Amino acid sequence: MNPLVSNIGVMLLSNYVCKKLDMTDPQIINYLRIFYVTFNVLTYLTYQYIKMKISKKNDLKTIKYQNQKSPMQMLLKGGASDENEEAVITTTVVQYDLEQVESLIKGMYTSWLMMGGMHFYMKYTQPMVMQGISPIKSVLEHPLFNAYVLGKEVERPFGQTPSAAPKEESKKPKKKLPAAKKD
Amino acid sequence: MVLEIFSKYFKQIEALNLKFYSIPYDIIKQKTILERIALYDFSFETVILMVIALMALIFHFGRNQNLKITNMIMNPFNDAMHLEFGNIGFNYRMKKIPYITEYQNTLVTGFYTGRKNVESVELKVHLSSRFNPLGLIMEKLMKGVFSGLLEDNLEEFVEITIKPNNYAATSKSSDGSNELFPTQDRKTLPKKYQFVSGIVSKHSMTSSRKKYYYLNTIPMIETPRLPKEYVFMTENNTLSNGIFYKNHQENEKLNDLLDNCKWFLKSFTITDLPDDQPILDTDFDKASSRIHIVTKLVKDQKDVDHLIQLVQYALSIYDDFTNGEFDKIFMNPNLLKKIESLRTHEKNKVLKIMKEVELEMKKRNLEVKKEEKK
Repeated sequence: MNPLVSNIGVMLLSNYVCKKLDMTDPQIINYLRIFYVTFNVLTYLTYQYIKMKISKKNDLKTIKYQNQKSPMQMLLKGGASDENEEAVITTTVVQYDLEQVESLIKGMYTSWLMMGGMHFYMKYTQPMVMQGISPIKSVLEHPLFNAYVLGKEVERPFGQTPSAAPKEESKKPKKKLPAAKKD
Repeated sequence: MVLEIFSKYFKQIEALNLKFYSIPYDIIKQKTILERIALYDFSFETVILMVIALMALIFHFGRNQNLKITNMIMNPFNDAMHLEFGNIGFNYRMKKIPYITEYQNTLVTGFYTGRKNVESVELKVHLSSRFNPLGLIMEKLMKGVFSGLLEDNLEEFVEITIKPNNYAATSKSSDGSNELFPTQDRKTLPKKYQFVSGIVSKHSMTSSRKKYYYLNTIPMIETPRLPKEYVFMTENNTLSNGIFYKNHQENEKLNDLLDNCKWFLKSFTITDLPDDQPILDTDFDKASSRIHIVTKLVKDQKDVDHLIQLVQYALSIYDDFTNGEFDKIFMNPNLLKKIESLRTHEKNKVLKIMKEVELEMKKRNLEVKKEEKK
């Protein structure tokens, strides 16, 4: 299923669940906390397992991909291109996969921080339902899960459109030079 | 909210000695010093002193840890270099110093000179500030949040620069200068020392390219000759195969050495281009020929031994250079043309940026003058 469609499905489902539950009941709040923590810990452990598998496999095949700026760089540098910055990055599969899993783990830390602020400071409870389901859903849909847990073959770089990937050199055979004329 | 918490704590600290401060001044005046000390609650001061003592202890421990690592690397390295070089370390106030430590033992420099065919070897060990764990944690957190913006200062690494003695004896005497190793530029540097060719670990291809300008200018070439953990980064395959594999022969010794160093070696490059992107054309021309070895921080004695072997191999490259082993490679006019064109291209890039900056400055000056007239 398309992740976008399933995300909308998860959102609608969590809204439905939130409406059915009494969010003022302290017991239900405690259950929701347990639900949120359990699923997030499970997701975190899955990422750590994937990280361990990546290091163990140590796939040194080289790959090339288009350098994409992070949103923070875009914000601060206004998306201006830096001449010294490489347009195409050459790296190994192990390095690429480790970078991907590290950024996913970092994303989890940010999400925990946001959720902590929303729940303990602003006293919101509803987002815990959504934030409990979506991390485990995204880990199950991620190509790294397919590659290292399910053992499927996946193509790298992930999520780049074919136009963004560096163009391969034309495989057309070069035209033969005309033979030198003989006297 | 934060201020409220702070003021609460300050009130609690003040409350510790409310009894002492409530005693009138005249009564306190009549008491002896010992009686006054007995009356005063020193618990807050004791805690502060304990914190300061703990900080001093951590500082001392961290510095010693760095020194321990330094000695683990430098002592065997100096011993091995004694067999190669006539002059080890530095002379300071009539004393011989084996190495210099700076910035609370976070930067260690060793220097070796006095060998045939090699001008000098400089070894730099970059260590993190173990004496300031709080600072390290903060820096790590900041790096985690702003990973794309902040430079990685926490990385520990070893950097070795080997400079060849590529001045002919005749040119020294004819020059008339008294300098032992006069500074070279691109014009005086012999052509056979003007190229970039190296072996780079696959794990650090991207980071090395980002960090070192000379690697950023050349393509990556995968080869079955090297162990699978490495690639060539070279201007031309003829250069890398010619120098590292002596014109396409097998080099078991190098392969074994690279295999032993795969845990820590990042890059081993023979280069004449600068480490950092030059801003001025003079910076570009000033760069001198050298072998630049970058490794992760070596952790045990076995790795230090392998690092020494790697440096000895690098020294042997310059011996071969002087003996004319690689002269054949540089007789290829196409190769020389390619090498020259890369340098011209890179220099033109620098000149273009310089012109742009100059134009920008002129524009600004004009704007300032216009505003002054108004």
